[in-house]
Formats: sequence, C-alpha cells, structure tokens
Amino acid sequence: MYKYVLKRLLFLIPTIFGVAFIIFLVMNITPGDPARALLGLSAPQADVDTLNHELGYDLPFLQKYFNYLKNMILHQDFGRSYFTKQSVFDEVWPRYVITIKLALIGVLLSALIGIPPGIYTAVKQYSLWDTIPSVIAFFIAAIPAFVFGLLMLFIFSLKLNWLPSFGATTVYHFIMPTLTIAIPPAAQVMRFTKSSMLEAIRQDYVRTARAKGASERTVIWKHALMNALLPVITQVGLSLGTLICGAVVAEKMFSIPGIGSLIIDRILYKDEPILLAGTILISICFTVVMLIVDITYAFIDPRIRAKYTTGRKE
Amino acid sequence: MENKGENILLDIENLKVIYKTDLETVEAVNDVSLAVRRGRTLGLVGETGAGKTTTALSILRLLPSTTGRILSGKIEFNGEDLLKIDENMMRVIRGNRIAMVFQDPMTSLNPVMTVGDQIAEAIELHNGKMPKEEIDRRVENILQMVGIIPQRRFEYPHQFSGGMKQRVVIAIALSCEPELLIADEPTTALDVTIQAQVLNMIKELRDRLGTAMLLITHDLGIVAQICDDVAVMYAGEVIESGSVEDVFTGDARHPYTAGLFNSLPDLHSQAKRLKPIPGLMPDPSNLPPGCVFAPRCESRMDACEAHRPKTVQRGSHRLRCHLFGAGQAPAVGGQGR
Amino acid sequence: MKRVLIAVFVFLTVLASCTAFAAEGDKTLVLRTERAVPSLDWEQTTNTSNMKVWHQMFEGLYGMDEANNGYYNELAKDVKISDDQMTYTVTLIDGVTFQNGDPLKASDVVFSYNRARKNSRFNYLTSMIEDVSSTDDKTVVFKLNKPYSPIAHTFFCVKIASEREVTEQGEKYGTVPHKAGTGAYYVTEFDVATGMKMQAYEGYWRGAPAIKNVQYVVIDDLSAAVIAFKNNELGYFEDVPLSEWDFLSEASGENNALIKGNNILFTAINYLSPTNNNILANQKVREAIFYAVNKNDINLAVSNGRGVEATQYMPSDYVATSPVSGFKTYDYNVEKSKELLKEAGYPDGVDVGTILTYGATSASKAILAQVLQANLAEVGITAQVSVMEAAVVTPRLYAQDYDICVFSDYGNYDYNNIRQQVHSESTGMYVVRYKDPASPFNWQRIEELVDAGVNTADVAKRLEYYTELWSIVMDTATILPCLHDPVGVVWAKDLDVGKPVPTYYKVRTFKWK
Repeated sequence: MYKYVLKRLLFLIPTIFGVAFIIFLVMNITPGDPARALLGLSAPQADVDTLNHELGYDLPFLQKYFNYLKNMILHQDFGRSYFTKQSVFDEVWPRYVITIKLALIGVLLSALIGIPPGIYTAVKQYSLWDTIPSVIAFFIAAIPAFVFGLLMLFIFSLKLNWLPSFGATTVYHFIMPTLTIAIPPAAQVMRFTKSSMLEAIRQDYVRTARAKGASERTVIWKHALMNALLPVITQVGLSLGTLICGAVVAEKMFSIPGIGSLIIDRILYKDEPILLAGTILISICFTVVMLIVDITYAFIDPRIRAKYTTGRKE
Repeated sequence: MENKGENILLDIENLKVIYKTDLETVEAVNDVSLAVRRGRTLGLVGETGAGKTTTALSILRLLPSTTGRILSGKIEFNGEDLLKIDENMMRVIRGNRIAMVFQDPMTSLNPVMTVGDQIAEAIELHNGKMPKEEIDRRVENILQMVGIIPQRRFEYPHQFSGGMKQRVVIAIALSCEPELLIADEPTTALDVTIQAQVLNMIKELRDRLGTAMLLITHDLGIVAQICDDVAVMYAGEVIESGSVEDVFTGDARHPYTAGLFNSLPDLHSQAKRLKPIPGLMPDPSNLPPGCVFAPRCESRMDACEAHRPKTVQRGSHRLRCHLFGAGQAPAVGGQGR
Repeated sequence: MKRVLIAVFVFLTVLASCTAFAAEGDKTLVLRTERAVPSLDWEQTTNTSNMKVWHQMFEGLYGMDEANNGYYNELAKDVKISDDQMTYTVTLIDGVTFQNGDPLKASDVVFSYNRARKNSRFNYLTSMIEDVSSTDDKTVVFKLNKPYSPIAHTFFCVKIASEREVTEQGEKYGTVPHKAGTGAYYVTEFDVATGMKMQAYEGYWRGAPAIKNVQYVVIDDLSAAVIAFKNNELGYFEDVPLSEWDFLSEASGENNALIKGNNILFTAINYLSPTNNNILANQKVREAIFYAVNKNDINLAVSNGRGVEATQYMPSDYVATSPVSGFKTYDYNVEKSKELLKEAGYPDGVDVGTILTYGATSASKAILAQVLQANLAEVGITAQVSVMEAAVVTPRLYAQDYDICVFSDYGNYDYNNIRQQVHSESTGMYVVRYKDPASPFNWQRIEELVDAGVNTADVAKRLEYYTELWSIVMDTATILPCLHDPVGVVWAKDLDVGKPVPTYYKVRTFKWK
C-alpha cells in the first residue's frame, strides 16, 4: 500500500513540470506583457522594454521555464509578483488556504446535503417522497453557481439582512459561499446516490440480509448503503474539480480573497510568477485529493484493497 | 386421510400469489397446498417459472413489496399462520426458525463485509445479549461444520470460490439452528463435482441437526438422493405430491410427471433422441381455463379443457388430474367441493 | 432555574445596550474599492480606482476640488511663476507634519519629485521638469525645460512622502503599512487581496478628521457591491451602476446624488479610412454623420436620460480653460444631414463601414454604437457595429485601423490633455491622426495652439487659444463629444458627505450625522 501511495505522489513531479510548461507556453503565445500593463498606455516603449527586462519577462520562454523550475526545486523560491513586487509565496499561500477551505467544505457539504435525500428517494421510489425531491434536485442542478450565489445574496443579505455579503473573516462569511459552491453539485450527488442505492437494493445480498431477519432499516443503512456509497465517494472526490471552479465564482461574488480570483485578476497583467504558483498549487491539491479518494475506496472496498496490497489472495 | 398433527411443521393451504404491475397481472401461484413434516425433506420440483421460488419466498414473506401480493391461503408454521402475524414477529422467525438459502452464491454475500461478520450478524439478530466471545465461538463452530477453516472468518467473500461461498451461505442459514431450511436450487450454480460435495454436506447437517428442509430443484436426481417427500409444480399449481416412493415408483402418475421422467436421458436405452415434453409452459398472465397442462398433455380429454381438475388423494399420494378423478379410481375424502 | 434565566436575560440586555452606546469614535466607515490596491506606494499604478484610495493618505502641492473650479493650493502656500514661465517657486505652508510626526520640509518635496521623475509611468507628468531643488526648508524651486502651464496637474498628481520613512522602509515600502503621507489617514492593516484599514491622523494639519476609522474592502462584483450597500455593510458607494440607480437611490433615502462625471463618450471618424473608396475623406459626409447623431437618444439609451449631453472636450465645471462656446456643435438636424449627403453626391444614402468600439456588449460604448447605427440609418447611412475586447481595439484605434469608433476619455483636469488627442507626437494615444500627408487639415495651427496653451499660465489667454483650437477640431468633423456619463453616489443614512463629487472624494470632509 505504501509503495502505491508513494508512486502516486511521485507522479506529482511530472505533473508540476507539465503544468508549468503549459502556463509558460500560453503566456508566451498570448499578446501583451506585464510592463505595458503596469506602466500604462502613455509610457514610452523604451521604459516598457526596460521594465520587462528587469522583471525577467523578455527571456526566451524555455529559459524562463527552466529557471523557474530550478528556483522552485533548489531554492524553494517562487519569485516575486510582477504586479505587486511582493514575494509570490506570501501572496499566494494565504489565498490558497482560503480557497482550499472553501472547496473542501463545499465538497463535504455537497456530500452531506446530497447523500441523505439520495438514499431516501431510492428507498421511497415512485412515491411522492421520491418525485418531489427529485424534481427539485433537477432544477437546482441546472442553476449555475453565480446565479445561485446572487440568489443567496439577494435573500440573505438584501432581504433578510442575516448574513454579511463580503469578506472572509468570520464563520458567517463562509456560510453563503460554501453553500453556493455545494448546493448545485449536491443535486448531482443526490441523483447519483439514488441510482447507486437503487442498484444496491436490488442485489441478492440484500435479499440474504432480509432472509436473516434483519430489519428494513439495517438492510438499507448497513448492507445497501455500504455498497452504494463506493461509487458515490469517487464521484464526490472527482467533483472537487468542478468545485474549485465554483469556488472562483464564489470568490468573485462574495469578495473572498481566494486563489481563483487571484489567478484571474493577474492574467491580464501577465503576472507569470503568481499564475504559475497558483496553478501548480491547485494541481497539487487536485492530485492529492484524487489520491485520497482512491485510498479511501481501497479502505472501504476489500476487493479493491486486495489489488493494491501485494496480499495473499486465496 | 392425511395425518395432520404435530408431525407437520409447515402446512401451506390454498396459497394464491400474484405479481401485479401496471401492465399485467401474473398469476404465479394458484391454489398450492403442500406440507413439510418435521425433520423431513420435501423436494419441490418443476420447470423454471413454475412458481417454486415464489412459493418459497411467500413462506418468509420476502416477495418484492411493490409487485408481489399474497391473495389468499394459509401458511401454518408450528400451527401459527405466518400470513397473519405482523412484520416484527416475522423477523423473529426469519433466519432463526426458518432460514433460506438462495440460488446464486456469487452474489448472495455482501462483498464488503467479512464472512465471519455476516454469519455473526445472523446470530446477533436473534440472540441480542450474547457476548462477543460466544458469538465468535459459534461462528467458528458453524464454519467448521460446513467444512471451512475457522480462521477464514476474517476473509471477504471474493476470496472464496463458488462452492465455498455456498457453504458460507449455508452456514449463515444454519447458524441459528432453524427448524426449517428452505433451499432454493442451492447447487444449480455450481459445478457437478462441487454439487455433490455441497449436497452431501447439506444431507449431513440436516441429519445432524434434525432440520426439516424444503428443497427446491428441477433436478429429479437430487430429489431421489435427498428427499423424503416430493411435490411437483406446474404453472403455479401442485399437480402431484406424495412420498418419494409414491411419485417415483407409484402406479399412478400425472402425465406431466411422466413426461419429466421420460425426458431424462437414459444410459441404458437405445433411443437416439431425447424425449422432451412438447410445447411450453403457459404464460402465467394468461393461463388457460381448465387444466393448466391440458394444452401439452398426451392424455388430454374434453373435460380437461373445460374444468380445473381437483386434487385426488390416494393414501399419501395426491394428484390433480381428470384421469384419476371420481369414477376412475377411489377418491378418498375430498378437499371440499 | 428561573433565576438562571433571569440572569441570562439581564446579561444579554446589558450586552446589547453596550454595543448600542458604543462611542462614535469606534464606528468604521466602510468603502468599496473595485479592484485590489497592489501597494501602499502611490507610484505603483495610474488607475483612478487605486488613486482614490491613496489620496486619503497622501497630499500634493495642489489638491483637486471637482465641485469648485478644480485645482487649489494644498501643501503649497504660494506659487510664483517667473516671467519666462519656466521657473516655479513654491512656498510650503506651515504646520504640516507627516503621519510619523516629522514636519514637512522642502527636502521631502524634492525627494518625492525626484522619485517620481525616475518612474517612467509618470513621464507624461514629469518630462518637462528639468530640476527640482530646495532653497530652504520651506521653499522648492522647479525649473522646467519649457513653459508648461499644465504643471498644475503634476503638482496635483505627485504626492509628497516622508523621505525618512520611505528610505527607512526601503524595499518593504509599499508592501507594509507606513506613515509616510501628510494626509488625514494612515494605514494600519493592509492586505492586497482584501483591502486595508485606516486610522485618522490626529495631528493632521487641517485638524483631526471627524471619521476615525476607515476600511476599504475589495468588492469586485458590482451586484455584490450593490447588495453590500443595501445590507448596510458599505457607508459610501461611488460610481454606482446606473442600472441599479432607482433601487439604490431609494435605499439611501435622501443620501444620493447624480453628478456630471468626468468620463465623456466620444464618436470619432477616421478620415483616412480606405473603406468604400475613402468615403470618409469627404468632409460633407462626415458632417452629415455628425448632424445625424441624436444625443438625446444616446442619453436615454446609455444612462436612462440621467447623463448630460456633451459638446466640450472637458467639463468646464472644474476646467477653467475649457471652451464653452465659439465652435461648431452639430446639433441634431436630420434635414441638414440629408442635405449634406445629397450635396456630397449620395442622395440615396451610403455605406460607411463599421462602427468599432470596445468593452462589454451591454456597456455604454456599445450601446452608443448601436444608437449611432440607428441614427445613421435614419438618414440613409449604413454601418455595421463591432464590439470587441479593449486589448484588441485600442491598438487598432491608434493605428488608424477603423472607420468610425466610439471611445471614452476621462481623468482630465487640465485642458492640455487634448494634446493626447490632436498632437502628432502623442503616437499611440490619439484616435484621429491630424498630421498626415493626406490630411486636408490645418494641423500645424492645431499644434501651434496646443503649445501656446501650454506656454502661458494666464487663464484668459489659455481659454482664447483653446477656443480657437477646439473650433478647428470641430470644423474637421472628426471628433464629436456625445455624452457626459453621470456618476451616481450613494451613502449611508448616518453619514454626511458635504457636497458630493464624482471622483476625488475626501473622507476627511465627511462626518457622522
């Protein structure tokens, strides 16, 4: 098992190299440069060129690429932002933490909100308790994150004055953004859980459990659910990607200083150091989450666990 | 006259079960009556779709809740009508006093629970206050009884072969020492050699524990090996029943049963082709009036297409066929009109 | 149990009343800034949004009052101009201290100006300064390399920072809170992403400001900002989206104002455009186009009628030298337009190519372009409308690669800014190129007048030159001012902001009611 985890973590390295390459490539191809963005339209070209040179922007892109990797690996130096001149790490890290908090809480919430109704509608299939929640989920899943966010702002900040509309300092500030990120995907989770449960309930081992004299509740919550949750967990983990994008929207809507909005703001300034650090950190987060999902799956499902351990299979 | 008395453990009378969907109504079980004697094994034989599994599920009230309906009849277990008790009491019986083994061992076990836990669950459900060590001991015991090393209780189902899995399933069923074991084609999904092993094991356990058994099968050979009594089902009805001697070697025989025996390949005969029964079982949502077997019966008479035959009794042998009706042979007693 | 409940109840009431009677000094005025302020060094960008924030911390020799004639003396007590208009001797006022307590000295002014001169971003402000020096603690002498009356704008834009504080902070200056300004507020907490907290400088030379705590928060999304104001999370909200004006003005009760803004929308015609056989080189065609423009329609479409139709290059409300009359205005006249077209030889109308503009398709410039297209259609002139990203369009404008365009111009407080639009040396800035081998215009006179306006500080004389200049420009029928974008300002019920201004508000003039 440890060998497997290690192997996966080692894959991070080529991933980072690849991400950095793509960012440098894209920055290289697109028009514009940081000095012009910083100095404004009226500045003479000579000054723009000087500043670009000072920033190190005008080097050939492969050289920039290797320099960046070298600095990152050997000196743990992520450089300075072209825009604010501050240390990239100091700028990026706190914002990264906030976005990760948002996204992870969002993922958890989407699971917490989505799974119980999914189970319930599966158990009560075809009845009203199934139709009504399913229809509601259908609509919610179709609402884009920013509309949802605006809706929440409208109701909770504007009309009811219950929650603050911007910032990221107190717990109250996190309620609406995390719900905005979590609820539309929760609808998906619910539908997926429902279909997974329906399948599980129809399995023979459920019939065996009933034949043992287990109560319906035990049958559902122990036997069916344990098996139904496996694909659901994978799906929830995979949805992290969507949630990180949703986090960007939430950051803009609720003025939360997260890494998504940072990256978007700095693209126009071609602030390469920040963009690199940001995207690399996000890819690392992604990879780690995928790994955790896989490991969790192995934990829960003994058939998968057998594949990862060099175990004895009888 | 039948001995009805303390000898009979399970007595099913006039059971009628349908499956009702929006589109159609399937008459799966029509006026079925059979009895399992204490400590004895009844073989329930018939083709696929005859209604055997439905009958078995009805005993434990495990029919699919959305479509299955028990319309009428009585299922008496130790004198108590199971169709009249509430669900909580039914649960006390399931797995504890009546246990069931299903057909496909590959999917009957929960893949994410250890085998030991699944057996333990059955024990715990019916012995609430039992301490853990005692439960573990019982689990190991029962595993040994079915021929599995007790240490394997920590392993998962996927680590067992098909035959071993079925043994586990049987272990679960017998873990609470039930009075009646219902086995629905327990060896059909296994290889022939394993079949023999598992069957032997079942026989042994049955003998050791004194469990009565309702063994559902389509294999007459198994019936001959293990069963004391037989009931033959066709299109939702019991068309012949009695002891194994009655049915296998008796002088009267229902045409369908005759057809079944005739279709068995015989090593000693010179026949070049097998002799199946022509035609197919009728669509259970569209049963013919009169005798259900009439369309395929060689001995068909006019009366067969018009009236449903009534069950005729000859000692322990019962037949439902116009051939043996009143006027053809002494009918003893009556099942009412 | 009952006793416990009573105790809890009493405790909560006391707590509630405590917060209700919080001293006024503890109240924080929360303002919104639409984009992150990247640094606390005012030299880092030239965008107005950031400048509005820095102007609360720093002051220059001159200040700007948009409500009362523009530039006024701030840190400069007295300015003497030499006869040749090339030497400005500035005497500083007394009693000014930086937020760190140091008194303002002429050396600080010299330091600040030299620092700005090294920054190429401010070339347009400092290139005319030859030398800055101090003769004593209170006097600074500016030597220009040519007469340049718009130096007033430089005196306003260049802020004075404490030499000691800046050099002591060194590399860190701008990234951490400092007390290097003379303004009424200094920063106590700063985070690029979230904004900053400011505190009143009690030793401010005009006297401590009434509002003690100020917080700037970065709210990118306009709708979110509107909601924040309605939710009582913002105290002062300027540059309100006009689509929300009804809603916000209602929410703010009496505390709102629509002011003629600094941003003016213009239509420009490229007389050099090769489209349709150089149709736009025809003076009559261009004039026909301008006469077809219905500025009232534009006002209604762009700002719900709340804007002000524009005829000037800059509002004369605070630019004393902006000509008010004496030039062609092309007032809406469909008949005249059709007549001119007929005279030009196109009685049945003509196609003039594409109206190019940038920004969001729902924003002012795009809407103006569409109104323009409709107005032109009425007289038989057909044109396409094309709206694209600013990064793509602005270079095209400067490269004269367009037929007709809609652009906006703002941030101008000295009429000399017109140089950007009409002088051949401001390549990369102008939208119409007057100096060109194929130009029929008197560009030489235009450039002469630009220089003349700069060479004298005499307001009356400057007005004369600019009137002639603007008249020539309008005669060419190449640039047409259309609309002053109104600026909406709303503020909290318990705030008093004095006379509201569109851009450079001063928190130090606000007070709690």
